[in-house]
Amino acid sequence: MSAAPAAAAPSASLDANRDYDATYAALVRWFIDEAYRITSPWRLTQEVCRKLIAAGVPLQQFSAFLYMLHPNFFGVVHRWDRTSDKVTTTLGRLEVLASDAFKKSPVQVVYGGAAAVRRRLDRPGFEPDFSVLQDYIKAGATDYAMMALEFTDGARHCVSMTCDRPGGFTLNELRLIDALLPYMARLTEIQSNRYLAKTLLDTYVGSEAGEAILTGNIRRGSAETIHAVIWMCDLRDFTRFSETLPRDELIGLLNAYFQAVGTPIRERGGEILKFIGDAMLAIFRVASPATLAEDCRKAAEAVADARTQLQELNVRREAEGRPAIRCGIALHVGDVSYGNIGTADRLDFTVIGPAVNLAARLTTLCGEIGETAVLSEAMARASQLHVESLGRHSLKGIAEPQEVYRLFGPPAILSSGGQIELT
Amino acid sequence: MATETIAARSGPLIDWLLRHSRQLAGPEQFIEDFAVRLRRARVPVWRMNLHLPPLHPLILGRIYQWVDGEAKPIEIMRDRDARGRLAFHHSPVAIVFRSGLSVRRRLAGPDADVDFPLLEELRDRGATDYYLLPLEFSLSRRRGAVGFTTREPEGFSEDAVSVIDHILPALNTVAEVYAGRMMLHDTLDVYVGREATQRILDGEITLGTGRSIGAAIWYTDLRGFTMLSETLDREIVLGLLNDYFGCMVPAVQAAGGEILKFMGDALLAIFKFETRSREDTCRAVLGAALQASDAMASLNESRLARSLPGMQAGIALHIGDVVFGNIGAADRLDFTVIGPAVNLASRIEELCRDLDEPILVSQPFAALAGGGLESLGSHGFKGVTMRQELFRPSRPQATATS
Repeated sequence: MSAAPAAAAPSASLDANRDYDATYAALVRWFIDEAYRITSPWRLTQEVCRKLIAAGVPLQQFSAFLYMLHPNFFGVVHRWDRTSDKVTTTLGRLEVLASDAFKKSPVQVVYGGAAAVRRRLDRPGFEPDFSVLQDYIKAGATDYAMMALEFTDGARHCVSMTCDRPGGFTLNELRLIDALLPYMARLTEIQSNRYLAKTLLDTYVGSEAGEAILTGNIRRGSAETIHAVIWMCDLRDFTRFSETLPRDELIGLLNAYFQAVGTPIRERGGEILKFIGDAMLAIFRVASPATLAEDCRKAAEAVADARTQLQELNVRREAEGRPAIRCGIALHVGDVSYGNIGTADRLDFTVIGPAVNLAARLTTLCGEIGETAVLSEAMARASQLHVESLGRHSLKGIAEPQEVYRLFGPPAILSSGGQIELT
Repeated sequence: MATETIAARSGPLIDWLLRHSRQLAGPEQFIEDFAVRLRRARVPVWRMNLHLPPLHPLILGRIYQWVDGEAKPIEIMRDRDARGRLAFHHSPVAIVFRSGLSVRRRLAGPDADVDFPLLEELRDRGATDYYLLPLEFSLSRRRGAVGFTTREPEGFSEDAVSVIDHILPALNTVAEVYAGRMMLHDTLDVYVGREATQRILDGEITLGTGRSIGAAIWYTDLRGFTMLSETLDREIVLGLLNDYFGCMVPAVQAAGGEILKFMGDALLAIFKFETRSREDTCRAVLGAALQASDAMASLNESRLARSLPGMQAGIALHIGDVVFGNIGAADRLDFTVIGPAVNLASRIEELCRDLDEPILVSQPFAALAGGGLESLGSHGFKGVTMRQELFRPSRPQATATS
């Protein structure tokens, strides 16, 4: 912190080779002996900048551009700024990759294989050839450099920096940064691997699974029981679709449907536990008996929202000559056991318990009685929503016939009403 | 005298470790190149071992070993059996993992202290000095270790030991990069399967990507699982699933198959038509199914002996194209497999119960597998327009005898 303002003063000392060597050696020791304890890329970026400032490099801003494998983002930028001495982290959405601004950026040049990009912004008659440079010039930058940050797995990432000293960076300053980048790259790669493992496990195994797996808190056979509102849904006519539709069309249909039902769930704090072919299992955790009615209402609202989304989707699909998407949703309240099954080298998280079985059977019942969504008796009671009975039904594998209900009217309005008597 | 010399001797090694090691293909090549550089810096290492810790309780550690004069560095997966575990617990590595302290042993001369079987073995091969140091990782509580052995008559000089101590932090950083990469691959392999891991890491991570593969398809599930999970305690249900998958998974893997998905009590596996002919593949798959079915029969015997409920599995075998694709919503995805062939396999499997057969084979599979099958006539399936002739293995089946 304290070093930052003072360091804006031009430093000539690095230009003496003796000082350069000493500074380089000290920073290398820092990377080896101390920096490895830093566990996040933004903190590493900040600490590296502070060290460079302390060494007399007049950095104005410094950004690390890290590519990543993520379903929604192509990369992340950690940008440090001298005035605030803070790092802002921005995720780059996949769409940005296709934009003109990105295609004609220095990042793309270095990512494409160039060793570095440098632009002397204060040279008379300098014409910015990258749009990003105009912003830096406006901010008073005199020099701009971008260099590659190379990982041991062959991936190229990069860092960019500007300074505001008249005349720009000295040659030794750029040499110093260039020489230190491999050290920074090693540490960044360690952090990235960890982040990637967590992201991919969260994405493919379960929302909270990544951290639990990586910290070793999960063993085969271990199970957790969660009291929750259970949401199970499936797609009607899926077998017929998969017989008749071309594969891209089929995957597109599945994704449109999961998007339409999954987004309302996620927006209300629900967790998607599993995809099972065309079926999806999600839960809304019930923290305490006091929140039960509220958690039920969230699930019921998600049903209403999903219905609207599917209707809108089907209007579009109809216009495109595509088959309509119809689904069945079952809501129930009960205990879900979430456990690790399989063999030592091939595992799965599975969800078991009578409550899950009942939900699955109710989903099938939706199709048989032509309902979009049904509620179990437990759900109907717990939710305190307006519901109407659909009678008692025998379900495969379940001993007792079950009375099932449907939502009556929009849940958001009715939930404000009093308790409903169930008979 | 030493400090100057040691800094001068370690400097280029540290520089190489952190600046140039990125050009190396992996830990095997790294350990070889590094050992050669150590020798150039007059650290007369004859054998070097890099122990990367298991960053997941179900995954074993990996050891990379270089020995001077031997062909290529090797990767050793620690044995998971009892003997392997016993050997590990009586090794210096276990001490280093537990204590975080290094172990140094002279193996020859007046100070010799050969207190582990491994050290005896090394001494018998001419080793004189052994030095094993802990690797501490910033992102994991688990330790690694790096070991150096020499055959120089006097062992490692104190200067050589100092050089090793001096470079340790840099070596530690490179080791953690490798350990992290292993962890990434291994945990994904375990939870999403090998094929999916490869595709995900190759960048197939956005919704909808689909590629198709021709393969033999194996679909299995447990009969009456809903009823079992209604009536049994969850621990018993999990134990039952693990016992049952313990019969299926090894049989599939031994025949070169890959488990694509677990779906509750169902399992989907494929055997790609890649390295073998379609005929050979189907014959191997049929053999594996018979094996799995036998394993289920003996499992049931032992379960009955322990008063645990028995269980019956159905296995359907078919061939066809399967399509991989990312499905899901936002940041919760599933790497899934779809296609008419997968549906038909699951429909055939449903008939296992109705026909009371543990293994059912589709006509196209039967045509490739050749003999050993008998026809059960033509059948229709829910949601599928075409009828299909089904077959069963013609040997007396295991379940029929029990």
